[in-house]
Amino acid sequence: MQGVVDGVNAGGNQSGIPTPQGFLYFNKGYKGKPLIFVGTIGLIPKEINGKPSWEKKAVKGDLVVMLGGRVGQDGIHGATFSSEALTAGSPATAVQIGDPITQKKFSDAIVKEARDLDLYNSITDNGAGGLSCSVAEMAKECGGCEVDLNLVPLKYPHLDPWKIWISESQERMTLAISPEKIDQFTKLMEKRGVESTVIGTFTDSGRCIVKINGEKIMDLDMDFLHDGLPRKTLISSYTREKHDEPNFDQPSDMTMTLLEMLTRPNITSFEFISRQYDHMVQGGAVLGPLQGKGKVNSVASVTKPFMGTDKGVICSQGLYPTYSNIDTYHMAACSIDTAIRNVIAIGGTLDHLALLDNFCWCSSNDKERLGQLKAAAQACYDYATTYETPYISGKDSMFNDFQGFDKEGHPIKISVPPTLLISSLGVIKDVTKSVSLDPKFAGDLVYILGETFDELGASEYFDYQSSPIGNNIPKVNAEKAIVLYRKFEEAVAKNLISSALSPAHGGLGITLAKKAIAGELGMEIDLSKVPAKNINRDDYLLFSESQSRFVITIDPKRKEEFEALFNGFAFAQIGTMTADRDFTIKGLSGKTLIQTDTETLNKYYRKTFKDW
Amino acid sequence: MTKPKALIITGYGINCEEETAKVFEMEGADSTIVHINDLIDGTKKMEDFQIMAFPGGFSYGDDTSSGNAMANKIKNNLNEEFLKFAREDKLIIGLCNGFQILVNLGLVPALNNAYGERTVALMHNTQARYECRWIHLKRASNKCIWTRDIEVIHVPIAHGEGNFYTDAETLKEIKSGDQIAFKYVREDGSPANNEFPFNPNGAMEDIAGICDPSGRILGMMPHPERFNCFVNEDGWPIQKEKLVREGKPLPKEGKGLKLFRNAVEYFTK
Repeated sequence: MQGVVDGVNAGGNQSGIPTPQGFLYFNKGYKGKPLIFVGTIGLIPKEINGKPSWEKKAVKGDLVVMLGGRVGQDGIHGATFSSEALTAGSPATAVQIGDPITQKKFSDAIVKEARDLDLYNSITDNGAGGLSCSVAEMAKECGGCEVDLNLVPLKYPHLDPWKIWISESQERMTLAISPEKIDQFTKLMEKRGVESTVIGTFTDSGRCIVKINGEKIMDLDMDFLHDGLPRKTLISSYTREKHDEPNFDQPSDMTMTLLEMLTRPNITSFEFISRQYDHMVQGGAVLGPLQGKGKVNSVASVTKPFMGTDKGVICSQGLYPTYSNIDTYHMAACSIDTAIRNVIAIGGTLDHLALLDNFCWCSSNDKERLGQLKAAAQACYDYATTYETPYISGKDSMFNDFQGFDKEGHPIKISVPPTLLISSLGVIKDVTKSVSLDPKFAGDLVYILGETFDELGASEYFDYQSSPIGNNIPKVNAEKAIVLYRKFEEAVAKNLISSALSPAHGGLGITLAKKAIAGELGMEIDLSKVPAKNINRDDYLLFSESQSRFVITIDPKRKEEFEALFNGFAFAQIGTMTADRDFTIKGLSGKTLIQTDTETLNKYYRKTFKDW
Repeated sequence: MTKPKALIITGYGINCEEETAKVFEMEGADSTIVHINDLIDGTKKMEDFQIMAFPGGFSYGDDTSSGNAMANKIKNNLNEEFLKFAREDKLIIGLCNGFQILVNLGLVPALNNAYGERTVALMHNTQARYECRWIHLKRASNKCIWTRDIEVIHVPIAHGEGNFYTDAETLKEIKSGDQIAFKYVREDGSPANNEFPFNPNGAMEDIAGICDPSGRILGMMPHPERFNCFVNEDGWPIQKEKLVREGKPLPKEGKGLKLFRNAVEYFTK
């Protein structure tokens, strides 16, 4: 894990890109092949020099130019490696060796200078497949290319030609530059300390030709190169397994239960990581990874990319891999709803909200795994069309399996649970309207919006109880959720909501605890007030992971106005913030169920990674 | 009144140049972001500017210790020009990585006007970790132009090498010359006394920034440019809530702008 932290620290911090937020998720399935999701968001003017900025086209006669770092042994088969099971035979050189400053130098030179001087016709980064993909993709724009591998700058001599062609050595761009502009471009790059090399020509020959030492080593028809792969037929099936239902009584000490739930790795504070990522560079921080006096990790962030405007960008995510063990359709639905409602909770709107999907699956030649994938993809379609939130990007990796040996030398296979990360990206018109998660003042009223159901299947709580995972996975009613989210937006516009956090992993109990910690205030809660269906146990009510809910606080003076606005919705005042820092929850029976204080909650919340 | 011209240096991994240029403009300067190589080859001339800023970032990836490689590049190519700028009645600020560069260039503390002599260091944070958080600063010097009329200010830091260190003799001279610009303090303004997180890096005597003997050149680890508007500040939502309930309007401006206003006013008032 420290390696991952160091990597984001180097890549993000050194590139001068804020890392406003993130999360950790632990599951034994990730022991063999841990997953790391890192995303970036960029801004581009709508028009550059009077032309639509997103249009690019290499034209016949343009020079193929490689820019930035040099080509080496690192990153050979990087892309295929990441989509294959990890075995004893996996190549160590598949991992690229990063050098953020090399990239920073050329990205500044491209984005801040060459782009606006109109010095290139097309540009593609060297990611998966290296030159073989970037050049061939751009060659599609004009109809062919010819590359001389002798011209490609190498980290060290005598690299095999095929390695030069496919190496994924980082920090490289491929550009199409007209011969009239190449001198100006080369001079600019020299001045910025960036290596740029002409390695070939874009043509309209209909062929992709690669040469070394004057000899042709590849000559493929462009149509075959791009569309020659025959479509693979795969068979899928999906048998939804019936799991045992848990059979345990409500713990007698619910205070300790809540405190121990706070120490769970998927719930605990990871402030030590947030502090190592620069979340304020570029001067646009609004709501970052740690909120409130008590510094609770946030599930959403707001960043204002431009000084002088009030517009902001909201980011959040949703991820529930354990739910995949019950039903991947609802797993996906919960991830989508979570990513969306986190944006709503922090002050965003459904009007300007997009999603990203990252699938990290396992054993994807197994028809059951494919069936699970199909169901998840179906939910992605159904919910995005209902919420009217388009997918603007995404990625997949289908074989996150590890095949090796345990300590006794027996063969072992560890697969990740079918994992879908849904990220959300929203725009907020006025960042001063954004809502942080911490309750603000003693005396403020605590409300829950939305209904709680008996939905603890594969939940954090069942796992805490080491019980069977059950079957009652949370289900999302998007039509109903939309109406609530729209009303929530209205309340935010009126400055009615003074803090908001949406229950997710660990449900209402964890949400209430996090709010008390964040506000450094006491809290008095009455569980019998919570709008719920089919729940008669305090622990289930506290830890159900039902979706589409918010816990908010408001100014007591605005109680009437607030309640009038939400008239007709499932909502209730469930308590009050207090100055004394006592944290008290009354159970369904009317007796005190949980009795602790904010300091103790905070201590447990930070216990797991205390010495990191 | 003509606007003072601010030269914002960039290149080789400096990455806070845009927000730094912007805050000077917000306060009435005319900012130009200039790649260091454009100064070296004469495309841009330092003499055209009154203010020079070294923004934060990771020049040369901090690979040979922070600020060192960029300072060497300047010394090897532009030493005389920089020393001339430093000695004139002009202003220089170095923020974070920029402070590390200034220290390596010997532009601060430049005891007894010995500009170009390196006498202090910014070492790795004592907790051996990059640290990003909000801290409080208290103005310590009466002569620094950049810090005029500031008592205690809330600003962010984000660095791995901010641990100010020097020998006892140099420290004594910095103090007697009134060259400690800012010290880390607690929220109430009382000394941090080297206690984390109030002093976020273990800096000697809680020193967050120092100036040259004239008070025109300031180097500091924190990032005042990142507190350019009300909603940047850690804890702004609770301030907003209070103002909303009192029926008062929200402020727009960030308090970090004061340093840049002081610089502009040095030339305009």
